[in-house]
Amino acid sequence: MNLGELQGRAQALRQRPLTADTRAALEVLRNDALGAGPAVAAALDRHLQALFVDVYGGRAPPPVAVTNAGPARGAQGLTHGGARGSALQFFALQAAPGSAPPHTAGALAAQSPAQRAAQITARLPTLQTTTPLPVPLATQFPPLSPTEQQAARRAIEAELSSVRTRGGGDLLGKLQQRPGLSAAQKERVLDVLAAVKAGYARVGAALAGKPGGAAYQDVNWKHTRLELDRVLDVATAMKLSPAETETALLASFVSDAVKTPANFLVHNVHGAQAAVHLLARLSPAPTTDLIEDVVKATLEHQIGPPGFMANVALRNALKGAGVDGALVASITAKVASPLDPAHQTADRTQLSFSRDEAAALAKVGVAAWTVPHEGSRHHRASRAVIDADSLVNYACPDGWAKLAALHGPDQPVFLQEPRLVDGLLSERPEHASALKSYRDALGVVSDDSRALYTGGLQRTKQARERVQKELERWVSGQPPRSVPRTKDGKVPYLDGALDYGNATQVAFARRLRDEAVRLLRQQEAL
Amino acid sequence: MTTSPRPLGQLSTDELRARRGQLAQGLQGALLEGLPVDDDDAREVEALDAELRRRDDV
Repeated sequence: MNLGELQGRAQALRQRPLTADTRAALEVLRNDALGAGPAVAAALDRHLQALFVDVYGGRAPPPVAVTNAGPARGAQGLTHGGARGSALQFFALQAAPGSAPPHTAGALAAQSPAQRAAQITARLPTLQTTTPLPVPLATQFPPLSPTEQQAARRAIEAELSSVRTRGGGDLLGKLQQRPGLSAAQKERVLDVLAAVKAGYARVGAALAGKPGGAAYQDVNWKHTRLELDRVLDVATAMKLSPAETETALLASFVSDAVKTPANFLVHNVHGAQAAVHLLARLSPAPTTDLIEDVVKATLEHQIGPPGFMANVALRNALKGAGVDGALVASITAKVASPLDPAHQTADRTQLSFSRDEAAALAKVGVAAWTVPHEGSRHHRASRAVIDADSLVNYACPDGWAKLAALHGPDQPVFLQEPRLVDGLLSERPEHASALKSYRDALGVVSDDSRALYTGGLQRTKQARERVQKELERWVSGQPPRSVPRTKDGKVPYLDGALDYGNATQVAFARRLRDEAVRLLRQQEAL
Repeated sequence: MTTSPRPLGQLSTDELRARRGQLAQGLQGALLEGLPVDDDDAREVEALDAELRRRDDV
């Protein structure tokens, strides 16, 4: 894009009322200019300085926030983002603060979305990271016209009503019939869910075939949809109040709403920023208490599964940033046991890190590791989000279908087990398995949801047994000569050990694995 | 994952298997989330597998 086109877009923005969305669009424009090179960006900034005196006070605009549209992309940006990260972009939404923070919906309603966002953000210092957003929030979640909003709502309701839940109903009905939830609460829940779904599609389109692109975002959406079902289950198990249930639902929706491999370590922070962005603009305005609770629960969902977050996600990022091995070990030991009070700050809201540990974490964009703590207003909602996420990933047939797809033929050698069942249920020390991931997540499942979680495992094991029988029937329906056999006469990857050096066996096992994945997914609603 | 403290030849077979499983579990998690696989970990699994095969053959 050349300077003339960028100036044309600036001119068009000048014609619009100076709202938060216009300010956000200005930041997007400046990001786009960065993508065209520093000289173009500087020229555009000079143009904006003169054109938007009411925004920049006649001075040079501040440093632009860096997004994937700018030069500091992906993992490089994550490590070397310096002071130019998504926190700046996010704060660009602020209007001039000044008045005392309101605590009522009435006071909030009198403010613009930007003012609401600024006041809430000012009270939540853990909403910062130097890691760039995958795309600007204003791009992922643009404001919708009333017509667009109605269409999005109709679409989400139609989709939820087509999703079967266990017990024979559908997902929309399960939400609508949730005892105690008011009509206004259901409206908010559905509006935010519709925005989150559309946001996945926009990020997917923006990143296209890159990591975190369309396929990844489609998985994110299906996960979110299933998590809605599980949050409602957990809310019942935990006897959450309607207010807690709403907090849990909204936090569940936004917690993975801004997630790609590039921002994985801080997708909780970006999700929490999205929560402010989406909730602050709702009309009628929700209370600051609700927004704060959703933001905090979103930040805290990052603790699980603790072993994976510590020893894989964080450890690999720290290692990649050149952090000393002893520091990596001391940090990951804390992250692996996030609920241990010995690892937490005095107020129990986050993990306590030494100065050196904090400096190391800053290199990978992590400003704080926020943890749920008993006694906070949002504590039960926060635990419900973590529990529901664990249920979806590790204690249901759909979650195990994803893991089954990662094992066997065409997969890395470390996930090439002899049989399908080994990648799911193996307890042998040399194997990776779904069961071991289940146990990792169990470490942060709340006591109230434990029965649901262990019940989920039993249900999943029974589903797997049914799938095994269906696979045996599927094999018996194949022409006998097309079914390879192991030396002891068994079916490779089903009840016999697959020889990964045998192309015929591998080709058959590939079909078997694909059929197993399909059948496991089918079991989800049973 | 911490680095294996001793050369593979000095580890017992049980220790080799446990280390292999620990690494594979982490790699499975990375793939599930679409994260890059740590090359050092993947190479170590290959070395562990080679050592385990060698012992089976002895």
